Amino acid sequence: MTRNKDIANELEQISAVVAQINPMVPYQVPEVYFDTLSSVIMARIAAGGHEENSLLQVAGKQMPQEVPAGYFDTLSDSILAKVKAQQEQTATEELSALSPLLAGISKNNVYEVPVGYFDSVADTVTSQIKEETKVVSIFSRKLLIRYAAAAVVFTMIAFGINLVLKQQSTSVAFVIAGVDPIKTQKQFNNELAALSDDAIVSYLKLTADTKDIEKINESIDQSKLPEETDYMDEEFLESFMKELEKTNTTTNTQIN
Amino acid sequence: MMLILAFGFTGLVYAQDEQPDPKQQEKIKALEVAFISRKLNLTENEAQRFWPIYNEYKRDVNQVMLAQRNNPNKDVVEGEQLLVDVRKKYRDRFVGVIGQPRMNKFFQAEREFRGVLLNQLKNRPNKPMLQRQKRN
Repeated sequence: MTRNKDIANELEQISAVVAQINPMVPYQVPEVYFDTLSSVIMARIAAGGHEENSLLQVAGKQMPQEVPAGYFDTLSDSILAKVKAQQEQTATEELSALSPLLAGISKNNVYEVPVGYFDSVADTVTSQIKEETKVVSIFSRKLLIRYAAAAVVFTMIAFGINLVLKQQSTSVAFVIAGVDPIKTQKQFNNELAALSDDAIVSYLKLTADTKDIEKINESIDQSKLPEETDYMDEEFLESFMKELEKTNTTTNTQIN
Repeated sequence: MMLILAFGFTGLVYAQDEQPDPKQQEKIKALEVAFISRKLNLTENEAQRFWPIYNEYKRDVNQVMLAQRNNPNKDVVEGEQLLVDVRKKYRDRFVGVIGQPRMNKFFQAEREFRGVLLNQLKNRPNKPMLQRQKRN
């Protein structure tokens, strides 16, 4: 039997000693051994182990070990007798022989309870429990404060989000309308106050409908109205307009 | 009384035909947007859809008003009708975005804003427009 070349090389790398071993199998069987093996085994079974050279034949039927007659009848008695014959030892002596350290420890109970302790122990515990309920109540008040604080914070956050969303929707409006945003009431008032009379007048002129005109009408200071005949006079209107313009310009310069 | 004022206004219209300061008009527009925005309490989504319609609406109203102003044979009743027509045209679109109650609120707010402007004029020290001066 020859080894595959690759396997031989690999084996050489792994272990030179093993590679040196002769790959030939040293054990051999007769050529026809396996041809007859089954019939031989069957023949031996049929012989029932009585044939020559069988291991059972060699062993024989004699027991190699023996017990004296009546040994087990007296065994327990003899053991007990031997135990009793030994010198009697106290537990302390035995313990001191086994472990001097353990034997040296006093047997007295080191823990003691004052006299009548258990008579009053129930009351003591109850009173201490009562004190603790007080502590719990203080804690729960703290807890309440914490909840309140959390609620306040939550509300503030909610309002904040609401405000932000509203501002967003408002700023969307300004973007779509294409104008500078006005965010606060104060800014609104300031911008409103900064408008020129002219601007407001011309805006109202362009947007006011009949109902608005009624309102404007109501707000006119009637005590200073000119004579009725004046209204019908075109010339008066012209001069009134000019005067008004003059007033407006002076107001504007004042504001500016 | 209305007649008096109508005359006053027409007088103004004819007297000042030059364009108003565009910057100031922008400011007023911003104020109006802020005012209406506050009154309507729109969500962001609603605002996205509302304001474009509003812009269209304002453009149409402006057109009607300008046409009225420049029309020498203008009819007050006809003018009112034209305005109402524009509002009717946009009413349903507003309702679709913000619902009936806030649609009402919107037209109300629009008018209220003009009231705010009017009050502003009224509270100014010289009370422009709102008092007539003796003729020289």
